[in-house]
Amino acid sequence: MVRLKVEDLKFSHGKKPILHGLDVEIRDGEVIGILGQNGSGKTTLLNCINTTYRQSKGSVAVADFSADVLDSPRELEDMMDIRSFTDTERSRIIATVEQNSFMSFPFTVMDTVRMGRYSRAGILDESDEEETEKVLSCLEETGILDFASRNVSELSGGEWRRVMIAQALAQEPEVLLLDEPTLHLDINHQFELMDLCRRIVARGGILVAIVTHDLQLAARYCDRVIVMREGEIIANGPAKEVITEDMIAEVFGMRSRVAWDDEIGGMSVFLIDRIYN
Amino acid sequence: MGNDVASARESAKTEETRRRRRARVILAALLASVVLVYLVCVSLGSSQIPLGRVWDAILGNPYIWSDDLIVNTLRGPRVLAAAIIGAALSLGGMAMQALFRNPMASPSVLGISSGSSFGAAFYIAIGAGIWLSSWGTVICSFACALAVLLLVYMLAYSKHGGTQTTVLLLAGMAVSALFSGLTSMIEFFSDADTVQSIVFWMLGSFDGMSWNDDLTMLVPVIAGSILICLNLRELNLLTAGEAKARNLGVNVPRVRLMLLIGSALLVAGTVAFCGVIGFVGLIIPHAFRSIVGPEHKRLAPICILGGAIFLMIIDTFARSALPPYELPVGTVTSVIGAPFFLWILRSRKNMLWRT
Repeated sequence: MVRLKVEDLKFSHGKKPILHGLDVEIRDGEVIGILGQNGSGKTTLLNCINTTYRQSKGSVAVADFSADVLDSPRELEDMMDIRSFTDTERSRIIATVEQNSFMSFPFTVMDTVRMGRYSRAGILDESDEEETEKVLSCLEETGILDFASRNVSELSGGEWRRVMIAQALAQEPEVLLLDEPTLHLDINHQFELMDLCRRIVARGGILVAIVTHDLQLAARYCDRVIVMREGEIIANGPAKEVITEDMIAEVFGMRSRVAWDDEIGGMSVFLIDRIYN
Repeated sequence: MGNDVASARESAKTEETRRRRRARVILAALLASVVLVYLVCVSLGSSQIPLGRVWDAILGNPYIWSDDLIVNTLRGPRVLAAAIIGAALSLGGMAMQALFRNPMASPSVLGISSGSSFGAAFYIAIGAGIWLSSWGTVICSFACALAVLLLVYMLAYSKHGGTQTTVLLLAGMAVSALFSGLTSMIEFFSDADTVQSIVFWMLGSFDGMSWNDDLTMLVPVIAGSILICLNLRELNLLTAGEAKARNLGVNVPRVRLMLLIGSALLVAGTVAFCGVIGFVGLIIPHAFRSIVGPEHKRLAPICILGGAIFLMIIDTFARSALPPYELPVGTVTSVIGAPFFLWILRSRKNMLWRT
C-alpha cells in the first residue's frame, strides 16, 4: 500500500522562493486534487516530487511500494527518499503526464506508448507478445486503440493527451502525477479521463495526484483536495469540506454556488461571476 | 463492443508487424546492394573493369596485373573508405538529430566540421613543426571536434529547460564561425604550399586511401557506433525531451555523454582522414526516416547501410564524371544531395518532422 509523504518541501527558482515548506501525505487508493491560481506552485510541487527539479530542500519520500521497482535487492528504510532511487527505479514508481510535451519525430502512437515500458522491459523482450499485449491494454484503457498506428504528428491536442496518459500507465506506476490532464480534452473525454482515474485507483496499489483548474471535476472526482496559494498549502481535506463558496471567493475571486447534488452523488460547483472590489 | 476491441487490438498488431517486416525487407535489400554497389563502384572509373574481372582480382587471380593494382590497391580501399565514412556520418547525424531534437542538427551545423578543419589546419600549419607524426592531423582534428561539440552543447544548455533548440543552433553557428575564422587566420599567415594542403584537406577527398587507413579509421568508427547503438532506445525517448526521458527512466547525463562522444568519434574519426564531407549526416537519416519511420532500432542499421551506399556512389561519380579530373567529393555530396533532400522535403514533409 504505497504512501507518498512530502515534508517541509522548499524550492526556489534562482533567488525567488516558489514553495515555502509544504507538508502533504497521499495514500494508496486516493485521487488528490491540487488547486490554486496560476503561479501558486502546483506544477512546481509535481516537479519536485518527480525530481525534475533536483535542488529542492526538505523531503519527498515513498513507503510501502512493491519490491519489484528496485534494480537490485537492497536494505530499505521505512520511508525512502525519492532522490535515493536510480532513474529507472524512480520511473517504475512515479509516472508524470506533463502539461506540455511533444515528440520531435513522427513516431506511431504504439511506439510512443511503448516508450513507457522502457524501465520495465529489456531491449530484447520489448517487442515480444506479452509486452505488446501490455501496451495494447494501455491503449485500450485510454480509448486510443483505434489510432494505434497513426503518427503522433497527426493527432489533435486531446488525442495526444490520451497518448501521454497511456504511456504513463505503461510504466505501471504506483504514483501517477497528472498536470492539468483535462486541458485540451472535450467535455466527454474529460469525464472519461476522470472515470479512468477512479478505475485505476480502485484497483489499488496506486495513488493519483491531479493538478487542475476545473473545480467541478475536482469536487466530483477527487477524494481529497489541496489548495495552494503563493507556494503554501492553505487548505487540505476532503473535497466536500474544502471546496466551498467561501474558499472559491477567497482563492479564485469568484462568486459561486456549491451544493450537494443527489443525481451526481457529489458536490456540484456553479460559478456565477467575478468578484469586483 | 468486446469484439470491436479485440479486432482493434488485432489490427494494431498486424499493422505493427507489417511495419517491422517492411523495415526488415529494406534492410535485407540494402545489405545485398551494399556488396553489389561496392563491386560496381570498384569496376567503374577512368579505366573500367568488367565485374567478373573485379571478382577474380579480389579472389587473388587477376586477369591482368593492372586489374590487381586497380582493384586491390587503388580503388578497393578507396571505395571501402567511402562506405565506412558514409555509414559513420549518417549514423552520427541520426544520433545528433534525436539528441538535440532538431532536424537541422548535423556535424556541420553544430560546428564539429569546422572544429575538425581548424584542428587539421592547425596541425598542418603549426603542429607539424612541433611534433611530426602521421597521426598528427587525425589526433588534432579529432580533439578539436570533440572540444567544439562540447562547447556548443554547454552554451546551449540551461539548468531548467534542458537544451534549447534555438540557442543550440545559434551557439553552433557562432562557434562554427569562430573556428572558420581561426582557420582562415591560420591560412592567412601560412605560405602557399601549406595553404594548398589545408584547402585540399578541407574540400574532402578519398584519394590515396589505403587498406591501412581503412583499418585505422574503423577503430573510432566501431567504437562510436557501439556507443550510439547501445542507446538506440534512449534516442527514441530523448526525442520527447530530456526532462520527459528522465521521467521515463533514462539516465540522461550518462546517455547524453555516450551519444556525444559516440558522434564525435564517428565524425571526427572519419573527417580527420578525408576532410569535410557535408550533407551526408543530414540527408541520409531524414531520407530513411521518411521511409521506415523514426524508431531508432529499425532506423540505425538502415542508416548505416544507406549512408555507405550513398557515399560509395557519390565518390564513384566524383572520380568518373569528368575524366581526367576528379571532383572534390565534399562538393558533390552538396550538389547532388541538396536537390534530393529538397525533393524529400517537398514530397514527404509530414514524415520528416513534427509539423
